[in-house]
Amino acid sequence: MADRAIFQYFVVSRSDRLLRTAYLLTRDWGVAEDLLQESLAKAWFAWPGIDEPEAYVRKALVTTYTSWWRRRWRRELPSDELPEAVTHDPGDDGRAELWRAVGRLPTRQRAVIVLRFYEDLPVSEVAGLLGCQEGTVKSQTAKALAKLRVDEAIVRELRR
Amino acid sequence: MTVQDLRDVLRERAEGPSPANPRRHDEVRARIRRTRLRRRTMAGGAVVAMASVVAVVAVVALLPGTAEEPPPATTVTAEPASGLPERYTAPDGTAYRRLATARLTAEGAKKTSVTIPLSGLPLDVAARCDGEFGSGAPRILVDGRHTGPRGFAPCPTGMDLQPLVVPEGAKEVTVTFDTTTSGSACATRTRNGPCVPVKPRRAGWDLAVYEWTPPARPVTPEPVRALPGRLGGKRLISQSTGVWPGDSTFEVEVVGTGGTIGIDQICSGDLAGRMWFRYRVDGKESPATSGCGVWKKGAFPMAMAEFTLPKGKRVTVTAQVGLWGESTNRPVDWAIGVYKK
Repeated sequence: MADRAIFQYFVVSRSDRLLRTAYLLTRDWGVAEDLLQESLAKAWFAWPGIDEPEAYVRKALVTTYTSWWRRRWRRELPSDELPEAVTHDPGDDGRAELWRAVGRLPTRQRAVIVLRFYEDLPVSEVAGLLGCQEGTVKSQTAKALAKLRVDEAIVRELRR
Repeated sequence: MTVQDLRDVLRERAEGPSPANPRRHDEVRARIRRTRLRRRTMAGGAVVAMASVVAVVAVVALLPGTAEEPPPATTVTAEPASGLPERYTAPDGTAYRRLATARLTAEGAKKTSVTIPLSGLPLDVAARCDGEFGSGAPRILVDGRHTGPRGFAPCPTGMDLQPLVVPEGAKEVTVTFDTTTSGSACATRTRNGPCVPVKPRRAGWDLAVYEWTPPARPVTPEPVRALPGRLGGKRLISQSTGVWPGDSTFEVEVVGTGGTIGIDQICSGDLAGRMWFRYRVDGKESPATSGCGVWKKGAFPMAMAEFTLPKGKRVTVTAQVGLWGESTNRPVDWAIGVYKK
């Protein structure tokens, strides 16, 4: 169980990494800060009963993010469909387009991508964070990677 | 593109310089204070909140120059509500039959009425919203008066069902759905900033009145989950469970520590959201009526009501449990927990 006395220490020492995850989810540093603070405030209320504060805050971050968008408190701007073929910009080797494509993913698919490929969390842990079955995480990952036009061979590998 | 490219892109974007915020901890603490204040207020329940809103609106409406002229009452002929089914079966198997429909559009009349003959079966009103979450929801009036718990949620996703409470013995009632607002409001974004008028958001609403046939036998609700041992920094010291309508009271003795005790409640069953709880602590009735959370998964839906007790004093906490509308053969499981530091 976490002691409330260490809450401030936790905020100071662990926020940076969580803020970066929040940024990947929201793609805006201001909204990311808002999301992080909301998640930390939620964690404070449950603090005495939390065994792993960082895991708890990460879960609060993801669920708050998905609920914000589900409730449409913060509406995303509609964006164009992905082009049929990926265009390669010689300057950035297609990475800028890949980043834009990540931004066009639906909320939960984006969360899955960030948790699996930035946080490097296993499928079981992502399922726990999102409150869904492991199979759902796998299928959401596959759908997201297909939308991102990521190598199909690797998509197949990830399904295993 | 490969998965490694995706990892690289995510790292590149995330590992860039992030805006430093040395005041983060203070800002989080301020957010915690606001949340705590909001929870204390919210724990009061909808009844007091609605009464206050009506009172404020009434006062504001009397101030010269601030009140919007209420539009004349418009009775709109009922039209088909496309988003609401003619027949509907609730998860507990209760059959609903639509009696009348109405519609309010974002640009059209702010008020609409339907008149329905009563057969004696219980009634519900349903709404489906087409608009943004937070848009003003219609109030529900029966023969021009508030009779039920509250209006609909502010533009919920999916169908929202609320009980329709009608006068005993009535043969016919007119149900009015009203989104009219009176008065004005403004909000300041910074401490000494200007007060910017808040424009009410309007949405389209499909509305309907349903009657439902009670199940032939009581439908046993799924038991409520065990209350958390700790909640909001307090530990569970006493709890009680019951099934409405058989069980409708709760009593416990608590010794005060000079701080606050917290009381929270959860319910299960199709009508769980219609339960209300009134508390009396040390002989004093709480000014607020609490609603009931439904906890199926995820975090506990905390809405703790807090009461300050004098140190060392033994006090009695009693609860009166009730339900808005009718519940024939549709019982609700409830659990109350008392928490103390």
